[in-house]
Amino acid sequence: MTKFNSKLLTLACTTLALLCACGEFETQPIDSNSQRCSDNSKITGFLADFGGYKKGQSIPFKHSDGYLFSLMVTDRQNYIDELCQKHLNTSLESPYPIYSLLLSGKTNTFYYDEKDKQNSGLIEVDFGQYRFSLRNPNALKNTLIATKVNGKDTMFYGIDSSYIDTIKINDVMYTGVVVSRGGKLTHTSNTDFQNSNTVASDAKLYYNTKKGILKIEMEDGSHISINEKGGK
Amino acid sequence: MKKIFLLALGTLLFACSDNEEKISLTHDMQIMLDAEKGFSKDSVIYLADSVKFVDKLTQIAHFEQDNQTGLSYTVKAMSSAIDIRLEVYPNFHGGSIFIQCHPHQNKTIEFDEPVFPAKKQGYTLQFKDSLKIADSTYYDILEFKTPVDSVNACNISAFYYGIHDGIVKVISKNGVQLNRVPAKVYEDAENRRAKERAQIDSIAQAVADSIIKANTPAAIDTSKKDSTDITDEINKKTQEILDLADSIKNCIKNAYSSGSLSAIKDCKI
Repeated sequence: MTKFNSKLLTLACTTLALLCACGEFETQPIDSNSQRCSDNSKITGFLADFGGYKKGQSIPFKHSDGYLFSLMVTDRQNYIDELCQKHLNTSLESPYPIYSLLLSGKTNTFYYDEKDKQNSGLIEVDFGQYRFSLRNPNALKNTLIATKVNGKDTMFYGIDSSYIDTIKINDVMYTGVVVSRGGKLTHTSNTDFQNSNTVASDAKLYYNTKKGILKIEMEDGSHISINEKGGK
Repeated sequence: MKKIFLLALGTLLFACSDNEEKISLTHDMQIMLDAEKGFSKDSVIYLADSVKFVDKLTQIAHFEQDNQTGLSYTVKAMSSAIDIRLEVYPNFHGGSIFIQCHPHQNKTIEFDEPVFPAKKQGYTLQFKDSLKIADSTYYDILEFKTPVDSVNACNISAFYYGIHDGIVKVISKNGVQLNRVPAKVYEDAENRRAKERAQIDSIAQAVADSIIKANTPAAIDTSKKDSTDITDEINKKTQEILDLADSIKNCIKNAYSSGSLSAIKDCKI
């Protein structure tokens, strides 16, 4: 009997010791999607080429009110998520004016064909309360819809982007340029801006693949633009 | 043996039971929650520097009551990256203040049981009775400063939170001060830009009008043509001039909007 009691006590104490950890038990993941995905998170094509951004790089910009400043590439990371989508995130920052742009590039790992591959990459740009969606200019160029706006032929892709081909900014001519119309984050009285939706805005972002972000026009009539020649 | 076992079981179960301690806040934190009355919970504010830069910010404050007392405050700027979250919550150890101060980094700075001045990894919180900005004085101010010589999770160096007013001042990493200003400052900046655009539109239109006036089709030799040909020729010439004037007008406007005023010389005026 004593032997039985001591065994029972040992068992009970072990159980209680486990219970007294008072924490939640964590189990090892049964399956990891990453095992089925490519283990190469490196992205190629439009998302990787966009802007040619490299960590530590400084890009001269100019504010329409006269400020000359630089956007510094402070972070650049790629990874694969649990849905097998490849990501490339790039942060551009300026201490003053206090600007921070987060470029979140996302593309599928698998494609039906080359056209699908070209169309799949998308970069979301968060800038203050504005959010822009940037598509591959080459994909846009091949699927243009010609529309007359104020009597002029204007090329549209979908509802948020238009291909304008060339633009001169601060004395430099840029080609393969697309304009993306931005949305504005919304919030309700019970929520803040985290994971919020967007509504249409008058903000516009001009970009091409080679130089990345060329110009952002904001709703208050001001804009920032790339200033490669550094002129005032 | 059974008695020892039951005693051990009772002791262990008690140790694992919920804590019956009461949640609480330090006096300094309670002041922040008491400011609910009169605080504009969901409002638009404006910050400007001493030169020209001005931005619009949305601030949202929730003062929670009943089961969970606390404050959750967020302010987010329209175009700049001023994005601050401030949370004040009681707990079993005198409460905590949580601060996030970067739009794209989720690092939270937590001050446990803060009694001002409070310090945490080089970040400081200090309470000030008032802060004078231009002609306005804001009362009961929480000053938050970031470390100077170590890693800073914020994209600013300091902010000043008025417990009745929200953010009243932000200092950038390179020391530029952005102060609370009335809506008029922002509206004036918008109007100034609109006026500048209208001026350039007006100049472009004047140039286009001059081109049209100076290039009105000259007398056409009518001796060898019938009236239909003459009309067609005049219409064609007129259209060419209108197109030219329109093209130059757009060229001037584009030169202005792209910041390349020197590009006006390429407009073939």
